[in-house]
Amino acid sequence: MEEKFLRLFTEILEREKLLNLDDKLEDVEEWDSLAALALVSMLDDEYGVIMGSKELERMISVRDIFNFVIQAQS
Amino acid sequence: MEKILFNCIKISGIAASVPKSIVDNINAHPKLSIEEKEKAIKLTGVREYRKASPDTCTSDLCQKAAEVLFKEMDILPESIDCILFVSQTPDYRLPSTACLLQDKLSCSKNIAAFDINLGCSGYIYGLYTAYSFINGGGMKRVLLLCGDTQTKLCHPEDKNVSMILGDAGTATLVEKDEQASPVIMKFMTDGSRYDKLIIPAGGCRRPSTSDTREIKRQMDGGVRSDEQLYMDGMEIFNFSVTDVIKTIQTYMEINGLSSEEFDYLILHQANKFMTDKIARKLKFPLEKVPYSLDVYGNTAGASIPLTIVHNFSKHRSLIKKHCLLSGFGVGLSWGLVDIVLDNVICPPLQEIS
Repeated sequence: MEEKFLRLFTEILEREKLLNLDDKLEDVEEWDSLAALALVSMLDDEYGVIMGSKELERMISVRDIFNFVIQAQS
Repeated sequence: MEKILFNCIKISGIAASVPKSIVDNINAHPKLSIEEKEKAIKLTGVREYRKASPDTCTSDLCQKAAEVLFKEMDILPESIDCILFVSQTPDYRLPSTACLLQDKLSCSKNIAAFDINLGCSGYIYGLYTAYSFINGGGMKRVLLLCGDTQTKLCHPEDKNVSMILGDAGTATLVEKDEQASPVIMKFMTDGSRYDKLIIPAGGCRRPSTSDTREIKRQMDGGVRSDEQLYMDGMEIFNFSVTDVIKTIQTYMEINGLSSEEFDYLILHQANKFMTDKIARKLKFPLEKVPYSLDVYGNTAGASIPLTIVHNFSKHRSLIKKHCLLSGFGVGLSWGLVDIVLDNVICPPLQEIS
């Protein structure tokens, strides 16, 4: 599940190098408000999970987002 | 709310008018890099939009549309029983712009005329009001003027809005017609999220001061004054792809309707990423989803009628097309109209300098 998540997230950012769970969002070059919209849409499409702007503000690393998805699904 | 259903009332004409001046998103916005602009265009779908000159107000755009409609339909302004002006960019804070238009359009004094302060959902609510007034008796013809000059509300460097919002004005004629198919409507409001699309100051809650007029970096990182438009893009996106989809889906399920029953899904032109997703989730193939945002941007309440004129005026009139219209946004306010557009006169799009 981790693999799929990282692959999908990497794809929507349109970047070559695969993301790691430990990557910090602020260090990801492609991460901006438009990427955030694409992420939110992907989380809804693929996982049926909705992330609001307040939750997004709390996300520091890729892992935080992954954990959010796991929690929301359980 | 019970089912809102109208019989024997139809939309008989729709016209639209836009400013001549085109803003090309790649060439404009000098403070943004080409990459940033291309990325935004890819997501929003807005390559260009129209920008009104300082002398042009929404009322001017709507007036032009109305005059062309009267001419094309060969009807006299004196035959109008009501003017509804749906906009969030009125000429003045008061009086109602609709009153000015009563005079400018040479309509009778024996009419009702007032403004409705709504944006993206405005056309849907305007239709409801027009239909209700005719249904209630006493009125035969209502002129629904719907539009906005949003470029006047936003800061040019606020990427969230300045590359998306465009200007337009439209005129729709609603009238009694014994042959008209039933029209069904649905409305929703959620004021708890009022602050997701807002001009925070300049009204009575936070009156205008030199401080509210000052351009500054805001909490979301955007650069604008408190009297310029703020949009929480993420929240509006989530709203559109959850609440709006749910409302439409529920309506379709309760009435045993699938996308096959409809010829067109005409959505408020918020941004392409959002509207494509709504169409996808509602299982509408993209051929059934006409657009206008690529060349006119997000034109608030005007976007649905403008999309109709942009796509169908070349055929000069719409014949028996079963359409699902949905407007959603600022308020938060949203709604849908299930309607057969039949024999609707759509003159070609007008432009004014």
